[in-house]
Amino acid sequence: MSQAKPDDLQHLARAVLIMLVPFEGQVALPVETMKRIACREYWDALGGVDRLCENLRRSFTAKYAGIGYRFPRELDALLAELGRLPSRNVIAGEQQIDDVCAHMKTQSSLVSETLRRLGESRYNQDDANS
Amino acid sequence: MSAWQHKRSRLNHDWLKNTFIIQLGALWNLTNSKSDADCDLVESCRDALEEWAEHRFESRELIEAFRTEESPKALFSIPPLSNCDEETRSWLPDYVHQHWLNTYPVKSWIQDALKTWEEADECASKLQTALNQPGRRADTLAALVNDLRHSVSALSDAVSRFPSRQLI
Repeated sequence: MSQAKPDDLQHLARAVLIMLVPFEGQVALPVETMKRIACREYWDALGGVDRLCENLRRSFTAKYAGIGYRFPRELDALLAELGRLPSRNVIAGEQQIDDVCAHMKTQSSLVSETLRRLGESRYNQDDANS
Repeated sequence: MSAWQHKRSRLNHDWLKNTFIIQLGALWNLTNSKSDADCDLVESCRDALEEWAEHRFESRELIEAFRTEESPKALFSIPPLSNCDEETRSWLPDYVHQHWLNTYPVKSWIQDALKTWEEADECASKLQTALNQPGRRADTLAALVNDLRHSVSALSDAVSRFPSRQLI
């Protein structure tokens, strides 16, 4: 996962989308599970948060920058959020984790839509600029 | 494109649309040009039934496999999601599978396609029975070939209605 190729964008976008599914909250998850997915370790499975962000940006740039698309702001917001998540080894206050969960829940539908477009290669200029 | 999508394309595009439905169309024209159920007509009907027999299990399996092979749960067997730890793998794959079932009409897609498959199989079976009858008539065969032609077209349409990409 350290050197994502442009073709990996779809895989990566779909993987992040799947990891976001629990935040859509269609089915109530146990509090402990919600706390767990609000930590960086949950996302590290995708190659480590730093590498995940780097690979998403790199593969997006390789695929779209040449034709004038800029990195979606929804993903920027998500990646910034992931960078601030507490590691599991760090004792984070319950309120902090609850806030992260609430925030992710709020923005996950926007991010999901963006990731869906990336995963489906149907991204277009209007979407990128909106 | 996933393995299931490749199999779907081979079955629906390469075989159903570009081979079998064309073969049945030609057979339908042949039945209409005959007043008697001669050897040529009977042989052509048998060829069509052999063609169906050769692919009937494959087509049913494809429909039934959609639920497992196109579920986002399947993505947990390949990177990067295969890197999830045991704790996450104990609940997230089933969770996203359930979410997928709740979000999309997966059961309807499968049930509708299986229904058309069963109708096509029944039409093929009736044609086989008619061929085995002594004194079979050309107009009887024509009607059965027409039923088979329509049911196979319906099967192809139902297989086409499955999504062309893996949905999450």
